[in-house]
Amino acid sequence: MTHEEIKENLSAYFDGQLGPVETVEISAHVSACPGCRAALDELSRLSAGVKENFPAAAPAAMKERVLAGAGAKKPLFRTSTALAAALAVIILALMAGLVAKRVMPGMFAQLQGMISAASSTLGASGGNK
Amino acid sequence: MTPDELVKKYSDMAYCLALRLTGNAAEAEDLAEEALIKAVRGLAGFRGDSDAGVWVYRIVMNCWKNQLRSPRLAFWRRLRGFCSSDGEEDTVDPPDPAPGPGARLEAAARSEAFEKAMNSLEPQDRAILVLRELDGRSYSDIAEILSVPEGTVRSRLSRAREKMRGLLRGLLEEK
Repeated sequence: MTHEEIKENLSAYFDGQLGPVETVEISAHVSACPGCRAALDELSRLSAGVKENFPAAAPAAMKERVLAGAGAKKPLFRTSTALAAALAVIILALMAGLVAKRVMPGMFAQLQGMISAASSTLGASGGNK
Repeated sequence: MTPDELVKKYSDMAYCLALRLTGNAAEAEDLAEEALIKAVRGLAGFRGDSDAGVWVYRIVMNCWKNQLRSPRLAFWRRLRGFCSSDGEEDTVDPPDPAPGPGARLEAAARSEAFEKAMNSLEPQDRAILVLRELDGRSYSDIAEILSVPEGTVRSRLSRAREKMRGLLRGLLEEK
């Protein structure tokens, strides 16, 4: 193998996933090549860093839901998704109002008048009961 | 294997895999939950020809691929992205750093650099990396889980590590 080919195979060598012939050849090269030894050290540090920074731990509540829910149906949306959707609708409505006020002030004033009239009518009818 | 044993043994890694595929804690929880429920329901039909872990993680991968194809989920994903304040991926909190302000800052910077470097990879490359590093899976197991040839696992893992090493060098030096 050339130096470049060995470099390409260092990751698999580090993982012990090469055949015996390739392993012996790369071992011999690495013992004589400071660059490849340094690359192997870096692979080792990367491996330790991944293990340290990405621990595998599922939320306990999820495990319970799996065992409880294996026989039940899953809800369509999660609460967080529903909240995000509600927030988006409110933001869009507010934005639409602002755009209407700026682009079509006449229509906006008319709408405002209609809403005021409707609310006063409702208030009056509520007061008669 | 009982459902309890399956959940106890594989839910952590299934969630970790889902988290690296989706890049989002809430979606990862949904994905892992869906996959594990399918695995528990299909446990009676599991013949044990292959490793149970390979079988469970394959289900996670298949559920993820199905979710990618689902227009409804794509819509909600875009909406969630629109609602999130900075558009960055919602990932898990970094692990508890070491005591002392200096050490805490250093650990937080290191954790942030690893998260950035990991997020720069393609979802499937992240999956390969965590299956290898955190679960110690062989290349042939990973190939079976991802339904790709073993040579692809070897080259993608090598490239992913090279990319992470390069990014980490830059990110940790600039801190």
